[in-house]
Amino acid sequence: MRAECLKVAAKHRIEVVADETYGAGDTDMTAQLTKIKNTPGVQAVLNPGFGQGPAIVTKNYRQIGITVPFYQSHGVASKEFIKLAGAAAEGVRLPAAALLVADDLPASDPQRSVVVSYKHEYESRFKSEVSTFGGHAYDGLMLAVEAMKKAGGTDKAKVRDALEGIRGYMGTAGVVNMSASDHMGLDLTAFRMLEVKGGNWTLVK
Amino acid sequence: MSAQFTQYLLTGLTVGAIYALVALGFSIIYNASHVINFAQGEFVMIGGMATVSLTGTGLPYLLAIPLAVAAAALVGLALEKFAVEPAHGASVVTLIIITIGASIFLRGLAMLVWDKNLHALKPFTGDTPIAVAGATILPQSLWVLGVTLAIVLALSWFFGRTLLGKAMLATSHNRLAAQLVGINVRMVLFLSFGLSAALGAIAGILIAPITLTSYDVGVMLGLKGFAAAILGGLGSGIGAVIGGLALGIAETMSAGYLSSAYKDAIAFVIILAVLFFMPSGLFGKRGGERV
Repeated sequence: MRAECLKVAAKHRIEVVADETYGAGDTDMTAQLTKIKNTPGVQAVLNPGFGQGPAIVTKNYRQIGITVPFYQSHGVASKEFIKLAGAAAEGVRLPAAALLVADDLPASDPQRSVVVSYKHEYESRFKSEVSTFGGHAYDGLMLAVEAMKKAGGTDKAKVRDALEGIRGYMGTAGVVNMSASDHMGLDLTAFRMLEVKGGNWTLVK
Repeated sequence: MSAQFTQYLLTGLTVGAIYALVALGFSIIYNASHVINFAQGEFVMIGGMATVSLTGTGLPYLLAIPLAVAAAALVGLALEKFAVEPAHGASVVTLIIITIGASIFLRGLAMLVWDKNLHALKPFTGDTPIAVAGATILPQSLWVLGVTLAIVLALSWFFGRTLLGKAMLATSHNRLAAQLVGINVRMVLFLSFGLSAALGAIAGILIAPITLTSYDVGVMLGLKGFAAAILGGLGSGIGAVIGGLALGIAETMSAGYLSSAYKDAIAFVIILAVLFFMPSGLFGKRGGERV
C-alpha cells in the first residue's frame, strides 16, 4: 500500500516529508510518531495498514498529542478498529465503502438500496455488525453467480468471458465495471470519506 | 531534540519493565534447574487473555487480576508436574525442547479457548497522557513501572529474608549441596515454575491496556524477555532487571534515531553480540566446567 501511496502522491503534487514504517506485530509506535511530530511542515498523517498496527498507531497518535488531521486506510474499515482504538479513534478519517454508513446515504444515492438490504439481512441473520470485508466476499460470490447466469453454465472459458463483460453491476462496494485488463472493476466512486464520531462512522460532507 | 529523547526514554523504560518481568521468570526457572523455559511467553499471554475474559463477564479488576494470575500460576505448576518432572533424568536440551513443545501446545489451546482476535483491556486509571518534560507518558506506563519496582523489591525480600526464598537461592548455587542439607529440590523446581508463571502473567496484564493482547503475543514477548535475560546474565535477578530495561531503551532509541524497520531485530542482534563477546552476560556467573 505504501508504494502505491507514494506513486499517487507525486501525481497529485502531495509532498511526502516524513515516511516511517513499523512491523505488523509491533506494539508501540511512539518512536516513529515522535519523529513525525518533530518534522516541520507536516499537515496531515496517513497510515496505510490493517490489523492491530493502525489501532496502536491511533492510540499512540493521541498520546503523543499530534494535532494535524489523521487519515487511515480502508484496511481498518470495521468496528473492531473503533473498539480497539477506543476514544483515540475520534476524528480519524478514512475512505471506506458506503456500506458502513448505509442508513445515512441520501435516498437519491444509487448505492443505497443494495447496501441497505445487505446490511439488514446480514445483521438480522448473524447478529453482528457488517464490515466491508464481508461485503467484498458477498460481491465476489454474487459476481460469480451473475457471470454463470450470463454464460448459461459453468464452462470455464465462457464464465470468464461473461465475468469480464460485466458492466455497471451495483455491489456493496460500489459500481463494478469488469474488463479484460481490469479484474477488480471498482473505481473512485467505491469510496466515501468517513469520519469516526461518537464511536460510529459518519459521512463527511 | 531532548523532548524526543525523553519520549524515547519513557517508552523504552515502560517496555523494558515488561521485558524485565519476563526475564525474571526465565532466570528463576533457570536457577532452579538450568532449564530455559520457552513457554514463559505463553504465561504472559495467559495473564492478559484471562483478564480479558474475566472482565468480560463483568468482574472488576480487583477480582479479575488475582484470578488471572492464579490461573497462569496453575498452568505453570501443571507444566512442571506433567511435562518437566516426568523427564527429570533427561538432559537439559531435552527439557528445553519439551518446553518449546509446551509453548506451542499452550498457544494452540489459547486459540481454541479464546479466539484469534485482538483484545483491549481498559487502562487501570484512565487514558489521558501526562506531560513530562516535553514528552508524554500514559498513566498505565506509570502502573507498569511502579508495579515492576514493587515486584523487584518483594522478590529481593523473598529471596533474601524468607526460608523458602533462601532455599531456592541455595538450590541455584549448588543443587547437590542443597539436597544434602535437606532442601526438597523437586518442590523448589515446582514452585519456581509457579512463581515465574505468576510474574509473566502480571507482565501480560500490565502491558495489555497499552499494546493489546491476543493468543500469540507470547512469541515475541517471550523471545525478547529471553534476550533480556541473556543480556543481563541468565540466573541473575539484578541482571534480568537491568537487561530488560537496557533492551527496552535500546529498542526505542534505535527505532527513533536509526530506523524503525529493524526494531524487532535489535533484541536478536543483542543476543548474538552477547553470545559472541560476553557469553555470561552483564551480571552472570563467569565460569567454566571442570571435566
